[in-house]
Amino acid sequence: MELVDKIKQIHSDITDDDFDSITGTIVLQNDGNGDYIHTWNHPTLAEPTQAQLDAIGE
Amino acid sequence: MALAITGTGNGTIGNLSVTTETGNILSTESNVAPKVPAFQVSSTSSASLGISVVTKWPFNDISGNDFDTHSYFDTTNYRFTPQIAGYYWFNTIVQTGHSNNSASTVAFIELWFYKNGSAYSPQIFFPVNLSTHYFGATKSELIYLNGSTDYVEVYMKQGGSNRFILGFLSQFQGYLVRS
Repeated sequence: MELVDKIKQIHSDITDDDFDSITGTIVLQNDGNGDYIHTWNHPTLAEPTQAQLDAIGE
Repeated sequence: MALAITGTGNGTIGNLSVTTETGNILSTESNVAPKVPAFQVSSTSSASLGISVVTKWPFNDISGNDFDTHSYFDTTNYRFTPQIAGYYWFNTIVQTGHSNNSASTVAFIELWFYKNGSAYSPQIFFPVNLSTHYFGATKSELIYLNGSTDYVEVYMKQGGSNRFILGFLSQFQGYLVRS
């Protein structure tokens, strides 16, 4: 499962707009070693922990 | 090479001296090309591009028509780290496709040059129609690098869609313009 889908599953209020490069508040990045949360500036929702993400599985 | 022109004042005959090193003196008509760093690298494998993920493009291949005159490109970390300071011109062409032939959603891809791990300038957006299956994007930029630690990479992002996109047959080029 894509990282973006895991985040949406944890926070159902999250939409594609939250990942928009200009207006969004969340940046996902991959520097060659897998996808990760680079920036989380969502005004109300907490950044998922690695345990939460891992619990969803592949 | 040390080159000195000396004289005693206006209207006098001066002296031209070349010391320490030997080499060619280039005239304006010279056909001797400057030996500046230049490279062209490619990505040959299909790399997965995560949805909404800013992804470093895996330029991992220097073969065929590719070259790296000064061996400054790192194909493990996909970055160019020149050891000569100056203003470098960069260009990249990334080609992507997707695995859903029936897709018709219009989406876009974004392309950046990253300097030392951060976006050097705002990304350029390329709208794409996924029904065409294959599409590409290109970006050029002039970037100053300090000749020791500064490095440049290419990053890309798929946005506005849930389609799965792959990247392949892309190129990254650059050369020193001036010190």
